[in-house]
Amino acid sequence: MKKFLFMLGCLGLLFGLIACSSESSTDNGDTGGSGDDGGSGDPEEVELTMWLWPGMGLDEKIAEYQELNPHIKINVQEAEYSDHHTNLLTVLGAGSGAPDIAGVEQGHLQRFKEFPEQFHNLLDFGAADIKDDFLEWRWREASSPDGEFVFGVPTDVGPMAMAYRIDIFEEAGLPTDPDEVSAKLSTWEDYIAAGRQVKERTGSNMYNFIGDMFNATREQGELQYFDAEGNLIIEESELIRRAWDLSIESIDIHNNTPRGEAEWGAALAAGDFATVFLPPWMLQNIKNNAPDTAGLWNIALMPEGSGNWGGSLLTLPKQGEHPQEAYDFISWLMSPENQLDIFKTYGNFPSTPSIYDDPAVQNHADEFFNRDDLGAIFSEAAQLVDFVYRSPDTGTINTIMGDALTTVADGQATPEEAWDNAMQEVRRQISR
Amino acid sequence: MSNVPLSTENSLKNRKKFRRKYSQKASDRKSGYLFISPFFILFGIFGVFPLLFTAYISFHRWNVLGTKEWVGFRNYQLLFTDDPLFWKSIGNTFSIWFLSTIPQLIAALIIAFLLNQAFLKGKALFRLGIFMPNVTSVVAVAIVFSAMFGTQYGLINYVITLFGLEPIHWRGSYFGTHVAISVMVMWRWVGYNAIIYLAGLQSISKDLYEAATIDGANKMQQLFYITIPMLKPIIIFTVLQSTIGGMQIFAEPLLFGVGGNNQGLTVTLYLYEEAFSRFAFGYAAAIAWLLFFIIIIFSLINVLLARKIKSA
Repeated sequence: MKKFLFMLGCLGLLFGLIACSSESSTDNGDTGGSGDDGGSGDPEEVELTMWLWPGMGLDEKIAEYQELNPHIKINVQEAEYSDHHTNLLTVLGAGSGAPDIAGVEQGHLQRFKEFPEQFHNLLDFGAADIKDDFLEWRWREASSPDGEFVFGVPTDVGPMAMAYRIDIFEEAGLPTDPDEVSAKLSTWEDYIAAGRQVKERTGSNMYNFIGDMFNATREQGELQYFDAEGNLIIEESELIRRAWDLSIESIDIHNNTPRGEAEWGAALAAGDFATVFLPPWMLQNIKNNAPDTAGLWNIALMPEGSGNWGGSLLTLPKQGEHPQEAYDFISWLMSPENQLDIFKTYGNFPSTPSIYDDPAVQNHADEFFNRDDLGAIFSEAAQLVDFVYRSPDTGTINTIMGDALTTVADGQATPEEAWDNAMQEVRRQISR
Repeated sequence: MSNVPLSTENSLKNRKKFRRKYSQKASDRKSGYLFISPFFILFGIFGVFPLLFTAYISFHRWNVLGTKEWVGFRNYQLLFTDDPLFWKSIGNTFSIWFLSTIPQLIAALIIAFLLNQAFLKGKALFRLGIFMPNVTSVVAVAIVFSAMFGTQYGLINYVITLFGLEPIHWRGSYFGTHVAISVMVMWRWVGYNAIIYLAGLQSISKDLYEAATIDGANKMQQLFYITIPMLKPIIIFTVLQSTIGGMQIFAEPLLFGVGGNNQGLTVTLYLYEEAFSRFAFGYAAAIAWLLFFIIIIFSLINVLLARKIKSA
């Protein structure tokens, strides 16, 4: 018994020690901020922590803001894309440790949007004034369905165009001039017919993977898996049916190399597929994976309009203590002028249409893709994007649909079996 | 306490008390506990507490950010009655475990046996080489192997087609995915087990081998009649270790890809997806506890088998 008591005592002691040490460490954090508060008479010195993932291209602008506002210190902490979102979830769940500003990517946004109580409503800090700077559909994605709660300021957007290999198109007897390509491939049926021609005459496939075809065509309409009230309409949705049918129908011209696998890059470099669905950030992926194809590409519009793929928000977690300062910073950071500068340096495509006519956007040249007006294409595409009704389960369903199409591509299931399995799995997971 | 001699002649109560309090033995004992306490405290915080907390949230519906909703045994009930994916993931886990562990332990034993031979020069180099994969980042391993196991542009399929065989669709079939993941696991752990076996081999007395050589036993007979019987406890240890590890394979299938049919989905990966991509933390906690029981049952079977073998 005594042993036991003694052990308990030891435990208590050490818990105490640990508690003390953690307390003192948070104290340090606090005094870091509050000490500064007391030290100055003029504008209060504020330190803002900001969580991002690598490659967001904001570094120069963050430095510039600190020069303009010497009393603001911005402490940027980066983690890999998926770790970043896991970390954010963890600190929000734990109720402490969240940054003042956190990036949230489109794919993760819907899950976080379920919990407005975890974030500051940007409308409380004046976000209504900047609303009209942004693309209407992008702003709606950043807001609650009724528009009364704004979660974050949009960063870049990912309107899709289509890149194609000039040499393969030429060999296949297709037009190579972008306007002619856009005209010739104006519907997905035309696109598939052209793809068969490419396959017949050159042996190359038309695109990489039916799952990506499904995503690209799905993004071209408003009503996907859910309607405006959040009801599941996947089985009635004409858009989904058409996206599925187009994917299945074009299975003979896909290369079965999903993006994100090492094989995608190898296939791209080998010229095994002729077109790429192209949000602006994809340009860099193509350059990295297939550097030898420089000058062999050109860009046209995607058949039947554009769709969005990617983009992020800068949000203010509720735990942050300086929301006004943080808001002032992010609304400055994503102002049209600054987005233009970021675009010039990094190519992140702006979410603020007022600068689309700026010569720097319109005449953005890229020799790799044989274009001196890249921005013009994406500006046009960005304005063709529709708002999409999503729910927290959208990501889950995307995964199920992608898996289903993979089984078809791999010959593990017939299209009918795959569809039935997918619907069953969707119902099961949503009801849980 | 029982070994403290309390003589009857020492009848003065306060004296007794004094001795109990301040005797050297008692204070030794106290400092002993103090010295080992960091482990127990850390284990309590990072081991026991999460374990119990996981059990607690497994009876809830909880997405971390919202409130917990008590659902009783619903999560478990759903797992048992309405979750084909969970059972599939269990099947995958066992299949991958079987495919990776058995060849791995046999290979490790053979490698250890070879490393222990007197004629081998540069032993340290070989030992280091065989252990290197284990300290390599699992992410790097998975990326390199994923590229090698590519269906259309992968090295392994290229070699296979050189022999005139049909290329294997590694990501698109149960067989392919399980083999590819097993190979990654094997490559990483074979050296670790070989080093453990090597340590065991070196503790076997040379006399036994000398006596066997004099009696005319060849190397093969020595392996089967001396080495393996003497290594039994160590083999049992490695089997147990590989079982526990094999039930928790995670990074390899995550990075290789699970395939459209979820043929590479292991239990831990399923658990992770439930928690961090579907935010179903209660459900994930229930999976964790079932996995815990499965590992216990499996380890018990292992122990029983090992006892049988030992007594046989």
